[in-house]
Amino acid sequence: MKHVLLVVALVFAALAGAGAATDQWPQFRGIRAGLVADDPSLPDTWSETDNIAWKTAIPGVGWSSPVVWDDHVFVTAAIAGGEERQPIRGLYDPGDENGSFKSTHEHRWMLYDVDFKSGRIRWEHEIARGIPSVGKHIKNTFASETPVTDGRYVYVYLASAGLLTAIDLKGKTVWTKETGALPGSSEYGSGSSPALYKDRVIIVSDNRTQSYIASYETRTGRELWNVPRQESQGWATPLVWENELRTEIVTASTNKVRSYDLDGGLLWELKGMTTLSTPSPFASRGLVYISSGYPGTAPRPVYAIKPGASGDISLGQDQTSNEFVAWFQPLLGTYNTSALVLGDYYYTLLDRGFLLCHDARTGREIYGRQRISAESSGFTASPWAYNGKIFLLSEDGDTFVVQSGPEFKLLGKNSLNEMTMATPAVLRGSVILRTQSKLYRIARARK
Amino acid sequence: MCATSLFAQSLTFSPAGTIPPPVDLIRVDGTHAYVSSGRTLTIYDVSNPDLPKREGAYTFPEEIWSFRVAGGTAYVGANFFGLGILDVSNPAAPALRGSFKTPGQAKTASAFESKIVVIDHKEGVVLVDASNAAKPVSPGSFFVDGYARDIVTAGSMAYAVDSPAGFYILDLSAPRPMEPVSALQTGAGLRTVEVSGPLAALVGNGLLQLYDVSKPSVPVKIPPFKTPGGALRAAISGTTVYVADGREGLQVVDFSDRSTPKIVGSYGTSGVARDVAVGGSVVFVVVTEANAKPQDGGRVVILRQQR
Repeated sequence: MKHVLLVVALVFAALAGAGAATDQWPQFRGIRAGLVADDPSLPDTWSETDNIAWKTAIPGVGWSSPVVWDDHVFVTAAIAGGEERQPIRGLYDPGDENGSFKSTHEHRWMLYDVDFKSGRIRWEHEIARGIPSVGKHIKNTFASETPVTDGRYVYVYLASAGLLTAIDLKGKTVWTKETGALPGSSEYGSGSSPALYKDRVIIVSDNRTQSYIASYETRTGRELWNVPRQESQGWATPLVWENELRTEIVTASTNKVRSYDLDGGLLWELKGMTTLSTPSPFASRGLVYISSGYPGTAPRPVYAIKPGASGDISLGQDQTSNEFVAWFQPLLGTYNTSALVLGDYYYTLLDRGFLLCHDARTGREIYGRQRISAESSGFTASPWAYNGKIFLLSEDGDTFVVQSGPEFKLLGKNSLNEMTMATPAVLRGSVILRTQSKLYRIARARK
Repeated sequence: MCATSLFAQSLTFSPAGTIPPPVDLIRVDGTHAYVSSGRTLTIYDVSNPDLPKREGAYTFPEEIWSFRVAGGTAYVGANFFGLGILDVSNPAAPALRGSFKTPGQAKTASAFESKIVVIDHKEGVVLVDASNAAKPVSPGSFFVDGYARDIVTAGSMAYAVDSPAGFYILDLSAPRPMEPVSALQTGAGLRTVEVSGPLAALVGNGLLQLYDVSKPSVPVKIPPFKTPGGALRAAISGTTVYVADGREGLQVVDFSDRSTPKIVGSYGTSGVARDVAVGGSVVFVVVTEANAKPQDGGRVVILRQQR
């Protein structure tokens, strides 16, 4: 009888887990790189007052995205103990100052658990406290890494605080791993989020001291492996790519794209990135897409990579493809946003407010630069899509809605009138969208 | 071996007066020098190069990235304030005639008649119609992929550069002025452009890159020239290019024979030469202390040149 009960319990847990997997938003851009299953209950329009289930003030600032598990919406933030320089909207040239500065104020690095239904802050947890020892770009925050959760713990990586930590759903620290606060060469701060695969959490720390990729046991924080990297800065989140041949960890950075096996062994690498590498690799329909596009340099590449590569798969001069590079575009890469593949199309959201569309399988241009809005300051959040529509969130807090497909068609604009650079979470008929001071749950109002 | 010793020196320089710090950039138009530092544009009468005389100044709400002066008007790129149209016809009392907020940070501007082209960090090249200077409007813009850096007009033609490598020529008299006559990718890290007659002098990554733009639709590249210090900015007069050459001071390159350009003069400065302007036989060099940061500003060393 005991055995029967155990089996029943395991089956129930497995089914519940399988069902829940599509109903959660456990990581940056969700599990499908911004794609959301069509759901007629998802909202197309909203404002500060319309189709708002709730909005909650979040103390501090953070461009990390919300992640959601069941009724828990998790957001990180850093609260400054004094007046800080405010971020500036749009592509910003700081001139000779480089845009980097060091805060002199004590900060509190926080994790908030917000109730999905009501928006009430269920608990807050101070992860760390101190004066950041590293600088950051005026537009960055000290809490730009999106946490990741498996429903048991929330794994929070805060490079500026120098730690990776696991916190349970009641707000208690389970383990903490000191990683050291290691600045990148430009002192622009951090942004690369952790990735989760089964029982391990993976981080990439590209810095000017000793760059590395490392894997930790989720239950204990025990370091499983740590592999040095020849990089000096980077902001892209590693991708665990479960393709038809194997599972691998794809990383993008300034010098190279590298893919590792689950034990940290280097599988393949690719040269030809740009100076500052921020967009995160993502997979769709058998290909992994990688890009980088600092506007002041060239190339600004996009690569579509096939599974199964090994060794150096860099393109030769004048090559646009090879055995494992399905296609390459030399000047399509974005500065901050990650691209979106929906159906047959690869959509590029340029930071300065253009949308482009290419064939996702071949890289062929479907349509060139389309101005989204002459008034918008810029775009940093990555696009998302559902119900045949693509959503483009500007730094002004305006979400532009564009029809998917081979022709550009702007359908509307939804304004929240506050700066944001965070990519939302979308699930269960709701868009969980973070602005500089607030967290919104946007959902169709019940009539 | 220093490049300057390879060639006969045909230009010599003797110091005249100075303009005191802080100075970031300098332009010269007629008998007046216009210098910017931070948010302020200051005008000096330099009719007597030994004794430059401060006449007036105007302070913008935001930082001046760069500016150009023509016909009694200064066209100023004043960061998020946008384009400033400054009447400098009375140097003692410069007055803002109009302004236009561009989408991003305005970097610099240049004019053809009432059409002003503004370099904007976000948008690229923004066309502003200042027929009514008090109420300028923008009939269009031209987006550049890189970071738009500089623009200069010569007649109806506008020459723009972006980083990393774009060089664009626009015809402001054309029905569609924001469709470039030519657009090409050239040397890396472009920062500035100056034009004199058929020659355009581009500076980027320490290199001097000239183009023959006598046919604007087909600019012809002239082999790049490396000055000993690494060019920071340049001024051009005829076929002579004056280079603010960092720690190597002023270097003067003669391009009359385009296949074999040569240094025909130099002047060692006590610090870092960051900008240069030419007015007739007088050369103005902005020099910062050797250990100063670029944003600290410098002084202007005024030089008489003799052949």
